[in-house]
This record gives sequence, structure tokens and C-alpha cells, in this order.
Amino acid sequence: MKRLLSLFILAILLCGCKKENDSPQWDIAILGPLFKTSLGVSDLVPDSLSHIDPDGAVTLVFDSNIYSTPIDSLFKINDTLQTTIYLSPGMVILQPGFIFYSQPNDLDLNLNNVELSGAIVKSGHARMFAKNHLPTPVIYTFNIPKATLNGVPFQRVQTLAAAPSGSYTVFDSTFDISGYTIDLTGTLGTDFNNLSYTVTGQTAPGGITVNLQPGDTVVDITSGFEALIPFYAKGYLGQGSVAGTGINYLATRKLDGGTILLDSISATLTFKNSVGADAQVLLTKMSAFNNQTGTTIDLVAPTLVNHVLNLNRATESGPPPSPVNSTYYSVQLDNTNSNIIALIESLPDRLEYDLNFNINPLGNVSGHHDFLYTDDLFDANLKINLPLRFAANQLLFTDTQALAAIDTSGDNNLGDGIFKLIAENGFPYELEIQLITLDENYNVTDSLFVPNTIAPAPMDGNFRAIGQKRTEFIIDLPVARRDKLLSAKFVAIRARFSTSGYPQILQIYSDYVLDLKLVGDFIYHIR
Amino acid sequence: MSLRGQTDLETSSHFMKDSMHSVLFNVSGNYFFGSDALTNEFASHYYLGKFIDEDLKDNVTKNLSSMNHFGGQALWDLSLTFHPDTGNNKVEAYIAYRSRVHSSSRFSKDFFEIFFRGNKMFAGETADLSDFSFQQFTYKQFVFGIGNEFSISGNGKLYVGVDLAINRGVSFLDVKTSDATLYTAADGEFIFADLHASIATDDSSGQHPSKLDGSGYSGDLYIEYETESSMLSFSVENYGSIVWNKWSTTVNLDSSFSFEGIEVRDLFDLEDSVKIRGANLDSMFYQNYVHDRKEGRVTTMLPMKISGFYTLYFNNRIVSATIGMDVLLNTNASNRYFAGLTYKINRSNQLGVNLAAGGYTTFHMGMGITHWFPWNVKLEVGSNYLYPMITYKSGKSQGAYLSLSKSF
Repeated sequence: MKRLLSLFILAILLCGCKKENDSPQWDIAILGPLFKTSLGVSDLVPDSLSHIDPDGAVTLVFDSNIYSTPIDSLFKINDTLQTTIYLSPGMVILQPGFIFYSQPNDLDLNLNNVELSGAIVKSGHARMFAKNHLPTPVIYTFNIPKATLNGVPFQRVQTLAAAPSGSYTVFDSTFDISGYTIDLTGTLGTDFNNLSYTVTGQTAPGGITVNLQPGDTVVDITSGFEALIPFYAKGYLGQGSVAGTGINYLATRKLDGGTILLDSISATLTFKNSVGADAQVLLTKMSAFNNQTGTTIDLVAPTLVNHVLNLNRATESGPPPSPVNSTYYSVQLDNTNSNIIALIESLPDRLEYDLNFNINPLGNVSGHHDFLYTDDLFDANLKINLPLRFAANQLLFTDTQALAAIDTSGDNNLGDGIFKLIAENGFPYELEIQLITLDENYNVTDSLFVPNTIAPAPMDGNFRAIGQKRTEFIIDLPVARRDKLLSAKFVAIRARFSTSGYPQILQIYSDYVLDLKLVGDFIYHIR
Repeated sequence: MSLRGQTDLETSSHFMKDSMHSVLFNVSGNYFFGSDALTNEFASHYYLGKFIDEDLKDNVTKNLSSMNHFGGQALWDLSLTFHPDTGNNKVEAYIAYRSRVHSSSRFSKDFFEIFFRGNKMFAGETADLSDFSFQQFTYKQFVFGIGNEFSISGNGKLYVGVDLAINRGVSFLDVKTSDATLYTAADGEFIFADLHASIATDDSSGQHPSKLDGSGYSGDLYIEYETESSMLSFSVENYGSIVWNKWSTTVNLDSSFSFEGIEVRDLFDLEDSVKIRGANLDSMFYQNYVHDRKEGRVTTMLPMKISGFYTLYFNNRIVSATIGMDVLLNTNASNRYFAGLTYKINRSNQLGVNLAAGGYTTFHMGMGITHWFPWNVKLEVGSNYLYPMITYKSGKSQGAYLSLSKSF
């Protein structure tokens, strides 16, 4: 009896005391908001691309450079290296400190009909490759008397060690001449495109006396200039043409169908001449391509297309690098003088342009006083003012984006649940959004939100949205589906919208807002 | 059987009244859990880390009133009582080491439902979380005491004892709310919280070199007046505090806020917005709403008991009957009233039963047995909560005690 009682008491104290888990576990039902966002006009169109009228009407402003002439489109300076080898004509004695070689070089830059009197180097270098066959050290000096930087002429001095018996020593180096102002009028000052320099050779004053035999190599040197690109050039820029093609890709390439009707549009094509020379520009073609539909529409605008436009020469506001006074020529396009509306309504994903610039059509009228800065030559700029006043029918926007990797270790506590997407639509557009999750091989794993449509906001008699229209979607999200969503690598977005009362044209106002909120109603496992 | 074993802070008799012995060595331990709402089954599942299903919650919900309580304690104690003056058996000294864990709470019905079922059931309603309190202390005590026996009249003896305990705090958590409500919109679109609360806790990183996070002092007072036929006892136990070190944290919440979801600023930047890495409500809440966070010393009063009881002895002390009451202060408890009866079966065994109500729980009944082994070894074992423990699913308290002593 006593033992039984003891066992009973021990059992009371000890039984059931072993923990199953470190922490207690239970489930709770959570109902609450998770995420929210507001999409206004400023979210859909960056401020820099939009203009808002006093009444709130929004205009999309597309302002883009569509073409710039390349830096070397007018002329290009080729590399100029020349080799000089002198052999001893007889028995000659070279005393220490003796100048045995001094050779001026007048390089012709070979610029065709371009005649430059001066330039400022943007980048490039002089090069000297010398071999010393003499048994005494030799000093070579590279001078460009008419190339100055802060008033100091260019000069580099290099000493080559004495040649070993039966062999030679070598020096090969480049000297940066970026920033140097070069007078290209040659040693006489009357020439053009003439880059003169001298190389001198001298036996080292501390060296030995050299007795040369007939045929011994005295001078073995290659010198010149490589990769010269001017920052500024002056002179006569010659006659010639620059042909170019410009391409602009548009955000509409993500539009995958549907139609749009525009109310009005205005476009301004502006040509800029920053070259100190008269020019003409000819736009031979401007085409809009819609890759999705395969359609191409050419711009029809008699005042612009295949119409020669004269561009006056730019002027200098001061010595280089003072700002240039560029000249401009603008052509306005609208529905009265072009088919620009039809061109934009085709929802092009790219615009292509064929341009041709002719320089100095009247010849050297400036008397060698043309100029240019190579980083700013001819430009073409297209600015489109598109009032967001349109009618859209089943306009489909598609895109696929990668999803960030996510640490799912903390999500195991989420149980079955539903999520509710609440949309408060202030736009007079009917929206249909579908999110398609994809695996790493772009296979579809799930689809969210369909079949559901966000209803448009109601409108007043002036077709202006008043208030917001509420739509709720229920997304059933059991654990298995949630795991699929969390393991998705990509998400494809399909957003289709139509304006209310199509083809009624509606204006977008800056106070239109689409509010989205995601509410969770789910089980959470407390662990 | 001791009647000091349930909401007790002291398990063994404090005085060594047997004049034949000069040294008493005792080791004892007890635990209890009591509530006026939480069932034993629920508490056991919680403590043992088992899954708490809806049936378990329902059984608690049935018991919930507007304000509810629970409390619990685990204690073990090692003590030595002896007469420091071998020529005077009336003076005794007491040395003990105690390890204690105590937790208690006061909570509203809505608080329980929110905590264990979530806020969905309050859709369109306001949950009242006011007047919530939860505190938990883990600490150790080194106790030094002295007592004396006074002869008052013919056969009456007065025992007076005092202890001083040096307390070493291990951990604490003290959460209190005054006015606190949580409104959940009917469709879940927003949650509005009006929170006025304070949270104090020790330094969880253990920056103090000793790894002890606090220190303090407390005292006990025991007075017993005993005659041949009766005994009147009064005690004040564990009156004192712990000062937690300067790395303790106090957070005060006095704010009202509406949570409408994490704002996604750039919906089209899917790399960042569709899946939010590492976002959690804890950090959201902390960063946005908790501003008054202070680090510094915190003083907490310890759970303290005042008790008194009266015992009548019958039949040459073979039978005794006791009535009494005690109150636990600083720890969310109410007054407890108890009565007990002991019967000495023979030289070696004594059986006791007790009835009680109050403290943290409702009516409870227990039983204990004392067995004297040879060589002056005594074993006390039992539970004052046998009745609620037997009714495991609906019972709301449990506990057990064990004491082994040896006198010389």
C-alpha cells in the first residue's frame, strides 16, 4: 500500500512533464490590411514627361534627341608615324655632347578638303620609338614648337643607354598631348593641316667618343602621332554631307493589342547647328513601326519630309572653350499639316529617321573661319505634346519581370487564407489585371486576379470622373498555392483597359487616383 | 501536512520546535498553477508546447469573465536550521538557498480571445485590452534568519523569526496596460489601436559579467503562538524588491494609430515591391509607433504573502483543524481562504486534507501525507489541488509539493 501510494505521488509529480515543443503552439485567425498603394498620374507618367494644365488636364510630353552627328563625322585625323634611318657615310668621330640628328617634320594631316588652321587636342598622343646602336648613351628630344599648353611648348627628353657590342638599346613610349593647342599652319604659318615637330639626337655629354665606320647605323627612329581627336578645330571645314539614321524605342512596345483614338497632338522637330559653318538638313524619311501588328506608317509632312532646310552657322561667344551660340530650325507638325495623329495612333514601338546634313553648301565663305567643337555638332530633337485625352478599347499592356529571391523560412507560419484586393478606381477606365507567375523556364505556375475587372469611376456630364468606384477581388490562397507563388521566378503582367463609353474621348486629369489595398484573412500558426 | 504549500512562498515549517533535535536539514520543492479561467488541460498544453486546439480554447472561453487571472510558481529550497548556542535550544538560526520562478497575469476576456484566436472574430468591433498585467520573475535567494522561542504563560509559547534574503535576479518581464483597445474594421481594411501600455524587461543579452541582471533584498517575519491545544500563526513573507541593472529596458506606449497596410511606393518596381524581403510587422510597429524606449535601472517589488491561520488540536494532537486566510500582494492575486484537517494515522504516517478558495482560482481541495522514516527522516508529499487535477479538462488549478527533511 505504501509503495503504491508512493508510486502514485511520484506519478503526479513526474508524469506528463516532458515538453513536446519548446514553445506553445496554436492557430489564430488574422484579419487585417497588408499592403496598400495609390496610382496617380504622376506614378504612371513621370513628372518630367508630363505637363498639367491649370484645370488638371494632363499632357504627355515626349522630348527626345533623335539624332546627333558622331564625333568624327566631319573629318578624322589618321595616325601619322614615319621612320628615319641614317647610316654613317664614312669614318666619323662623335664627341660626347655632339648633336648628330636634328630633323624638322611637317606632317600633313590629310583631311581631304578640310583645311584646319588650328585645333585643341581632346585626346591622343605623340609617339617615339628609337633604337640606339651607338656604344654611348644618346639623348633624344621630341619638340612640337607650335603645340602649347598654358603657353609652354611641348617637349619631351629621353635618354637611351649605350648599346652593347653588336646590338642596340630601345626606347618606345607615348606622350600624352591632351589639352594642347596646336597651330596647324606649319613652320611658315601659311599652311593648313600641317603639324610640325622636330626630333633631335645628341650623344650624352658624359659618354665616350664614338668612332663610326662606314655603314654603321647612326639614327633609327620612328615618330609621329596616334589617336588624335580634336576637341576644337578652326579653319575651313570643307564641303560634304553627313548621313545618319536615328532610332527611338518607345514604351509602347509593351502594348500588346487594342486600339486608341487620339483627340489632338502636336509635334516639333528641331534641328540644331552647333558648327561654325552653314549647313542644310534633309529629312528623307520618318517611319513608325509597330512590331506587334507589323504595320509601318511613314510620316507625311510636305513642309518637312524631303524638304531642304537651311541651318545658319553657329557663332563663338569667345575663345575656346566658350559656349557656342547654336542656331535652330524648328518644324511644327499637327493634324493640319501631317498625318502625325495616325502615326501615333498606330502605337509604334519605334520611330526611325533618315537624315542628311550638308555642310558649307556655298563653299569657303568664312575665309577659313569655320569652327567646331567635336562633341556638339548637329542634333535633331523631337518633342511631342500628347494631351492625355483619348479613347482606348481593350488596350493590352504586357510585361514580364523577374522577381526577387525571397527568404521563405519565416513564411511557414502562414496557413490557409484568402486575400482580398480592394480597388478604388478614380479613373474612368475599366481595368482588367492578371498576374501570371512563371517558373525559371517561363512555365506558367499560377494566375491571379482573373476573371475580375476593376470597374471605372462614374463620370459627370462633361465626361470627367467623379469620385471612385470600389471593386473587390477575392483570392483564395491555400498553403499549396502560396508555396507556388513564393517559388515563382518571374511574373507576367497583363493589364487590359478600356475607356468608358468608347469611342468617347476622355481627358485624364491629375487628380485621378487608383487606390489598391490588399487585405489578408488567414490562419497564422503561432510557434 | 503543511497548509503553506499552494500559493505559498515558503514550503516548510520555519521553526524547529522539537527540543530533542539541534539541527534540521530540509530540501523541498513545489509548483502550482491556478486560474479562474484557464483550465489545467489548457495550461498543460501551453507549458508542454503542445498544440492548443479550438476545443481547449472553448473550454477556457466558457470560464471567462470580464477580468480573469492566472498565476503560477515553481520553487525549490534547500535549508538548514540549527541552534547556534548549544546551551540554549530556544534560539535558532536559519540558512537557505531558494530558486524561484513566479508568473501571474490579469487579463480581459477580449485579451484572451485576441491572443489565442486572433482579431478576426472582432471584425467590426472593438476589443478591450485594458487593465492587462503580466509579470514573470526568475530569481534566486540566499536567506539568513534567526528565531527565538518565548514562554508567555503556563503552557503558551511564542515563536518569532525573521529572515533576510539577498536576492539575485535572473530575468523579469512586466507588461501593463491601462486603457487599451483594438478596433478591427469589418472588412479588415484597417486596424485602429489605442494603446497605453508599459513594458519592462531585463537585459536579455546578459551584459553584466555575472549574467545576473538584478539584485535586492527581502525579508520574512514569522510569529506563532502555540499552546497545548491550539496555535495562532501570522507571517509576512518575501517583502522586498529587486533592482534590475542599468541595461534593463522600459518601453512606454501612449499612442493611437491606424494601420492600413504597408505602403508600396513603387508598384512597378517588382524586384522590390512584389515580394518584400524581411518585412515584418514587429519592425514596422516598432519603428513607427514605439518611440519612448528607455534603458536604465528598474525596481520591481517581489510577490509577497501575508497569511494568518488558527489551528485547534484534538485528541492529544492526533487530529488538528485549521482555518486561515492569506493574501498575495504585487502579483494579481485575490484573498485566499482555507481550512484543513489532519489525522495522525500512526507513529509514522499522517494524512491531511484541505479545502480552499481564492488566490488565483476557485474552489480546490487537496490531500497530503507525511511519513516519518527511521533516523528522523521525514517526507511530506501531496497536492492541494487534487480535485481540480482530477477534473483535468475543466479544473483550473494544479500543484504538488515534496519535502524531505532530516533532523539530528
